Amino acid sequence: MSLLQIEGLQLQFRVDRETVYALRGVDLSVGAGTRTAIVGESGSGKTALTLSLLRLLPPNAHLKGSVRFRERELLTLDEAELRQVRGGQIATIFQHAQAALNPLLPVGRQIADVCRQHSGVGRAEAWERAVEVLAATGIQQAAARARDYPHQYSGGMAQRALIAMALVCEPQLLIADEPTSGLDVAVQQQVLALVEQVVARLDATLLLITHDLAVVADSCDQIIVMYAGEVMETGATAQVLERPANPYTAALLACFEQTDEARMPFIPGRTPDMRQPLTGCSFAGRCAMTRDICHQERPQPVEVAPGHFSACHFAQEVVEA
Amino acid sequence: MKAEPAGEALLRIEEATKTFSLRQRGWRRRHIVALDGVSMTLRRGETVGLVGESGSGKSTLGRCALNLLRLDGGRIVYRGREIQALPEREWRPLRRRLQMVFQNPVSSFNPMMTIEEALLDALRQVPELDVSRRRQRVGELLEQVQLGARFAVLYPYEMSGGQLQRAAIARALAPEPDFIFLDEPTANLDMSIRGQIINLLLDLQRQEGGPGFVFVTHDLRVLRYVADRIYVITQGHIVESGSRDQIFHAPRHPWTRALLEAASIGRRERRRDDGSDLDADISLESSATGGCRLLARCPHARERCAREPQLLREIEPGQYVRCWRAEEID
Amino acid sequence: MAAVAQGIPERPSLLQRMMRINGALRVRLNLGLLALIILLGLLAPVLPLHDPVRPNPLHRFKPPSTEHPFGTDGNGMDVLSRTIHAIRTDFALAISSVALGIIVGAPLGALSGYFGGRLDSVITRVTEVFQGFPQILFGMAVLAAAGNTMVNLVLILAFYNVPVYSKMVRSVTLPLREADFVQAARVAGNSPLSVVFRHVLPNTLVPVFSQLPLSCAYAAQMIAGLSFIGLGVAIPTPEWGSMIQLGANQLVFGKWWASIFPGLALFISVWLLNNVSDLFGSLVVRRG
Ligand SMILES: Nc1ncnc2c1ncn2[C@@H]1O[C@H](COP(=O)(O)OP(=O)(O)OP(=O)(O)O)[C@@H](O)[C@H]1O
Ligand SMILES: Nc1ncnc2c1ncn2[C@@H]1O[C@H](COP(=O)(O)OP(=O)(O)O)[C@@H](O)[C@H]1O
Ligand code: SF4
Ligand code: SF4
Ligand SMILES: [Mg+2]
Ligand SMILES: [Mg+2]
Repeated sequence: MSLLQIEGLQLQFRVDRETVYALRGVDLSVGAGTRTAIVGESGSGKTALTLSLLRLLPPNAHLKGSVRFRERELLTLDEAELRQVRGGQIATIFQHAQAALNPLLPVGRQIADVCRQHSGVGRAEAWERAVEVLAATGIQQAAARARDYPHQYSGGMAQRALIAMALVCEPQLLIADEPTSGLDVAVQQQVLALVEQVVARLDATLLLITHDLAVVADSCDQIIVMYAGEVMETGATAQVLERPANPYTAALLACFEQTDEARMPFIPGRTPDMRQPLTGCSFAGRCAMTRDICHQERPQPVEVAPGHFSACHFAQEVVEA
Repeated sequence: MKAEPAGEALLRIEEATKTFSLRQRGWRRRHIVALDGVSMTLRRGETVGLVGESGSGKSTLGRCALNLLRLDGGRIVYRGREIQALPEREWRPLRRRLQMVFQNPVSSFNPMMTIEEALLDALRQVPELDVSRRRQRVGELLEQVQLGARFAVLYPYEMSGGQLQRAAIARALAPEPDFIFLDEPTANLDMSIRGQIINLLLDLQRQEGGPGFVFVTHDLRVLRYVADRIYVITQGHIVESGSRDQIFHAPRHPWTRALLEAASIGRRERRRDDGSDLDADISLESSATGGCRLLARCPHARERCAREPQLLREIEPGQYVRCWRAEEID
Repeated sequence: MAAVAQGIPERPSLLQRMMRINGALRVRLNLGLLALIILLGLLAPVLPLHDPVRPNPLHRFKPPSTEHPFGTDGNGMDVLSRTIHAIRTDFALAISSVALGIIVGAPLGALSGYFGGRLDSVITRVTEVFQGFPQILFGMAVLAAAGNTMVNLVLILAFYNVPVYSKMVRSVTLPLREADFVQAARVAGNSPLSVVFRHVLPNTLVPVFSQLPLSCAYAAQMIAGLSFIGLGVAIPTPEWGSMIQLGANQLVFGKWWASIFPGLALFISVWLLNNVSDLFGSLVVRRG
């Protein structure tokens, strides 16, 4: 059963008289209890996608399409109903922990506020709960550290605090947007382990955005590959990583190969201008397999193996290669 | 493989010490020793990799090296001049030569300024460019970091994390520095763009008179490409330094080994073996035990470790280790 | 590469962008009404109104009629005309005093917060002393001693706004001092003063902007208050406070119009300014 069903999601940002096409018609479904990774090029719309789910968008955003969460359409909810979903059923850990916390309030207070909003408990009880979850995320002397301000936390601690904040909500869906970028390897592993632990404990579904394919291989069962505001490929992690059916995925995977050359591997060329509507494939031109049709027709997702979809005119050829 | 750089010292950090004191409730103060006698030499056109867990003092070192923070002890010597002792008048013209890419790309941009304004701000330090050339230069810089001129008019909150990180690199390149402290410059980039940006930095460095970098990263793959030498820091102490090959192929300090191991083996395996010395919560509060700082977390500790403070020793030409057991343990 | 520079499109200024706040209907409504009031004041000289300062002893305390819709006051001057002309006086005084307060107070606060140390202690002490004076009493004393002129009135009001804004800006500056973008501005070669004025100060203006209408409301009340006790704006000049005061004596005799209309005008203006202030604040905070 799918917990989250996204259909034809289009997100545009109006910047003065121009339009940024951040999501160009995204179709997705995320199964309950799965751990799904979103990977993709910087600027491809990963954060935009997660923000759209909760409609946490700036005023210049225009959203179209359908997002159904447990059979309930989220895009037509009113502000009050939405708040209920945001705090209670879907929680988010943002890309920059330090920036996501209010610098003017003690960390514990911020967690307590979320707790009060979510479960309506009193101030004192909420504070206790905040200290409790902070401790549960591995912060030492949580009672004292709860009184500290965000700038007194290291990056890893700030990330834990955000996880703690998500934890008090007891969500059914946890979205983590690059929760570990900029953290050292040990803390990265702790934070990820913590996220997994929380997800397991709450029996929740995880949507994890990351650039680290090792993490994806390690902790996610499903993968979504995005490029320029479109979904390029989806499927079970092992399937996609071992037999990519989309040239972009293949090119991205090739960047992880260790070479002995003096230069790092990369994909030549640049992401298409997000201000232009696209007619063909978004990867056309950069893709080594580009043919005429790629420029003219937008590829529709094809199922190359059960549950494994790729939006490429030559998907079948790519898997077989 | 990069050629062995043989240039003169560009930047020397000598015995840098920095303590933060935080006011606690009441009168008590908490002291955090962020840097404790850190020394480092960077030659022209060279990249020094700096690795260490979060909170180990890497960013603090960067801020001190750029004269943004005052050291409590020690010196920062840039091209033979001690910059922390320079009067403002003599320091100003040097400012543009030392640049930094801040760890968090989002908070390092003024939310009231567009990217163009931020880059122009940095370009004001380049007197040889007139105003119209500066605008042109903004476009060129944004092209260089694979963004393109269209990003110039955006405000920081209109860009993705990775896009901002590239803008931050463009800003650091703008005044044509000799030295850039790169604090996790590629953490928010996907692998394909990470490669492009690293290659850009390497190309710049290979040019005549290219800049020297201190490169903070947790990505050992990137480190392997960029670093000529590597310093390993923990709790404000350098515990090991050496050439890239020495550190990758023959690490001697228990801490370096743990770091490398953590990165190379998967998490699932690691969780099973519980000799997880890296996991302990690290406190930097000044403790006066006098012995090795890593005592509590080191699986190789002996009784002698508690008694003797550890000093950096050269155990191979160019490789320094702060552990008396370095040669014995395997 | 010239084409690249041309590739950078122009963008409207921040002010222009702020004017098109999306979706904030209530703000627009309040701002619109406020603008209407100000427009009315600006247009007062060309509107078909009686001369606001010409006394007419024959028409004292005439009740509202078609000739004088708001009636006339104790000097036989047209209350409608005076109420509308008073918009000019009151708003001009309030705005100029608040602007002066911000122009002096905000930089003081930013300097004091950014540099800290002795400069900070001196500025903080001085502003605290300022704020300690009882306002109306102080105003009375100064106006009595230095002369009851408009300029002095503006100075007194500004005097009270300086500490308000310097305190506010200082408190926002303190956490900004360590912010990454401020450090980045230093690396970009800004001198300490340029860091304060180009980078820190603009980022403190968010709360300042939201406080602005509130300060204007407060200043308008204060002007009216001082005029009410006979200081501030002298009688023939149309001003709500002095009008209320002049009419107040006659209120008990059932001649309500001379003070109720200016009172209402004052009340509505203050109310609108307060609303705008609240909404503005919440909007601006949400964007940050
Ligand atoms: N408020 C906004 N106004 C205009 N454009 C925006 C806004 N927010 C995001 N964008 C644009 O939308 C696109 C998608 O951004 P998003 O933050 O989702 O990228 P991302 O995939 O999360 O990238 P990264 O991996 O770098 O974080 C980008 O091109 C970005 O510049
Ligand atoms: N402005 C500050 N005030 C107090 N403590 C600080 C400050 N900056 C850094 N620290 C502390 O100094 C230590 C080193 O920090 P930092 O250099 O940022 O570490 P790293 O960059 O290696 O993660 C940390 O314990 C951190 O909490
Ligand atoms: S549709 Fe064409 S351009 Fe797009 S990924 Fe497939 S082969 Fe490449
Ligand atoms: S000195 Fe002892 S405790 Fe310290 S690192 Fe070496 S073996 Fe471990
Ligand atoms: Mg993102
Ligand atoms: Mg750091």
